[in-house]
Amino acid sequence: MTPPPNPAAAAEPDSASAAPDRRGPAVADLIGGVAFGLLGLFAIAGALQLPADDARGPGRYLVSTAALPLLAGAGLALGGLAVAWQAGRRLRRISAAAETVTGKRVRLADARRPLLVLGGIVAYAGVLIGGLLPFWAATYFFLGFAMVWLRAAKVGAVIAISLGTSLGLHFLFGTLMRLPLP
Amino acid sequence: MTLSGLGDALLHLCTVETLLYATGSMLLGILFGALPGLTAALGVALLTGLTFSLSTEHTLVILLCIYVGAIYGGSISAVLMNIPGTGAAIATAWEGYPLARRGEAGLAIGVAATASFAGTLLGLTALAFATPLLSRFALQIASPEIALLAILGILLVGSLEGAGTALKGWMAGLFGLLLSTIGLDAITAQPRFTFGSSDLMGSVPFIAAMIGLFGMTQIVESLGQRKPAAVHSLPRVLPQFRAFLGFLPTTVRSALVGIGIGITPGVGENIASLLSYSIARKRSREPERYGKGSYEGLVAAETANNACVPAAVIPLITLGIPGSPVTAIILGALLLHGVQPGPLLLADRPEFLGELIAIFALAAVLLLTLALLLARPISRLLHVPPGILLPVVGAICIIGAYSLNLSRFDIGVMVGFGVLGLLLRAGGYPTAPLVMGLILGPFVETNLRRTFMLSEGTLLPFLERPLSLILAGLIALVFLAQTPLWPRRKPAPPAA
Repeated sequence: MTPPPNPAAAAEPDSASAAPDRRGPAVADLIGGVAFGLLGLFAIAGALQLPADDARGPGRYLVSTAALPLLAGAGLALGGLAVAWQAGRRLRRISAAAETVTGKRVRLADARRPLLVLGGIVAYAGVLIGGLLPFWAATYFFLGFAMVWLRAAKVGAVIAISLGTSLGLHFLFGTLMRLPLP
Repeated sequence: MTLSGLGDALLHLCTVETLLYATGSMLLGILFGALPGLTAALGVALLTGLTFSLSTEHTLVILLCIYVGAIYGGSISAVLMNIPGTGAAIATAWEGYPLARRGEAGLAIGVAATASFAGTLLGLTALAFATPLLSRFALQIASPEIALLAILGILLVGSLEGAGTALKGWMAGLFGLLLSTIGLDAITAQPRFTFGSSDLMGSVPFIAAMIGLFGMTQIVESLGQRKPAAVHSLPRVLPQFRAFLGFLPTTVRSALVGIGIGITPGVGENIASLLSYSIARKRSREPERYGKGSYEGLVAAETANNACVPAAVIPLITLGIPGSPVTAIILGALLLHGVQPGPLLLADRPEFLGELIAIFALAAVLLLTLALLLARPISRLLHVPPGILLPVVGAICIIGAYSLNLSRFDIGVMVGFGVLGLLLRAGGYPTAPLVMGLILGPFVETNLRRTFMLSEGTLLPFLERPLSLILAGLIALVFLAQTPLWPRRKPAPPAA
């Protein structure tokens, strides 16, 4: 016997199979909308604390130092609200039953590699900002670790390439162009 | 200026010493442009210090060749790695990189070089024939028009780049505008959103932010993929003459946009290329190809940014006002050599305009020759495995972010904007309007407030001036076009 058609599935075609894909962007939009809305409110609050112009009337803020932060903040708050509201409506339409754990696991696994790359760059930048190592040494370690992790070449070649590149960059910018490197 | 005067000026440049200076400077300019973060401004500023002992003519040859070369050079890393070498190559990356991924890197670089050559030639034509007229027209463009033009630019890019919805694009633009207000207020010197940090007093360092938004996000996304996308170059570099003719209307229109932006004091080639790209996309018969590798978009961006270079010199020599940030440095170099740009310059030294045109002509020829000769060896860079190339690019990005202000804080800004770029991309917010907002924010703010100060807070100046009224109407149209009120064509029924 053929099961009766599900009205929810008829309204949202392929609801079960496509749900993780559609729910993810809707959640991201909700978070993004709320974040932008809060940022807008923060900008408005900050702008209102700035000294306003001596002029009277509605033009008072338009000529003051708070003008652009106020306008941009109001735009962001309204825009964020609109995006969050649209995302909320989309989320309500998507069936809660369609949420699967598999979809989330796949997303985390996909994000691991870019996060590691990002972590590597942040660590490299942190070493340079903190002045923990001279530029050539920090660059040598960054390039070496990155190339080994990415399996770009054999270890011997990686050592040669990363040492040659870091010293080459130091010579080009630090010596030839006389740029005081970090 | 007569033709014989121009001929004399060209002949005067044809010495071994001058040609060596010009070739070396052009190569250095292309290198500066191609390396992310090392901008035309930095190249010109570094070389200005080395030209004290040279003649004024040689100084101009060196500085203008670096300027022209760097504006083109930005397209190389934009096409090959999706990292704009300079701000003027942002739109080039949107079209050039997809072309490179399609296996047309060589041709994309060739088209960029040809468009840059055409842009420089058309720009110097404007410099030659329209200097008095254009400088008079530039004086008509006042605060209301500059503010509206900047707002229109942000709205257009937001509408075009918003992933499915213009609202996200506009929000990214507003976020850029908000970020541009960080630092000291340009009119009252009031600190805003600095949180007590002296590093933030001088506003968000734009170059570091741009490297983070484009460079770092591209590196993380490319290396983050299990199998990074391979980009293959093709042996073909020179575009077909027929194809070049097909782009002639786009070339001429983009050059006019570049010239218009160039003669507007203080704006510069970054905005010229973005505005020209937006207009080309709006007017294109194939707008769906934009963002996926459109030669038309590439031509629009590259023609406008190079046409802007000679045009930016027009207000410098006629009014003493730099047309772009780089010409502000050139103004300093001229003053060091005892040349006082301004209304009296051409009266005192009538041959000066001819010299400038001859230098730009030489720069254009050198640009095309060197760019086409170097295109193939440069595109071989793509054969280096991404696992080796991209970490090295990452190190160069760090140097680029640090080099302009020699500030470790700028490295942090680069990383911060890189993370911000990744978050925005994950949320479907385009980064291009954010960059537009960040660049144009100071123009919008100072000109908007100046207008309101003069009108005591009323909107009258925007409605009284014809050009302002046209621009305000265009802004309203861009808004309306995104609302349900705008009549839309019904989708065609599916074919049987």
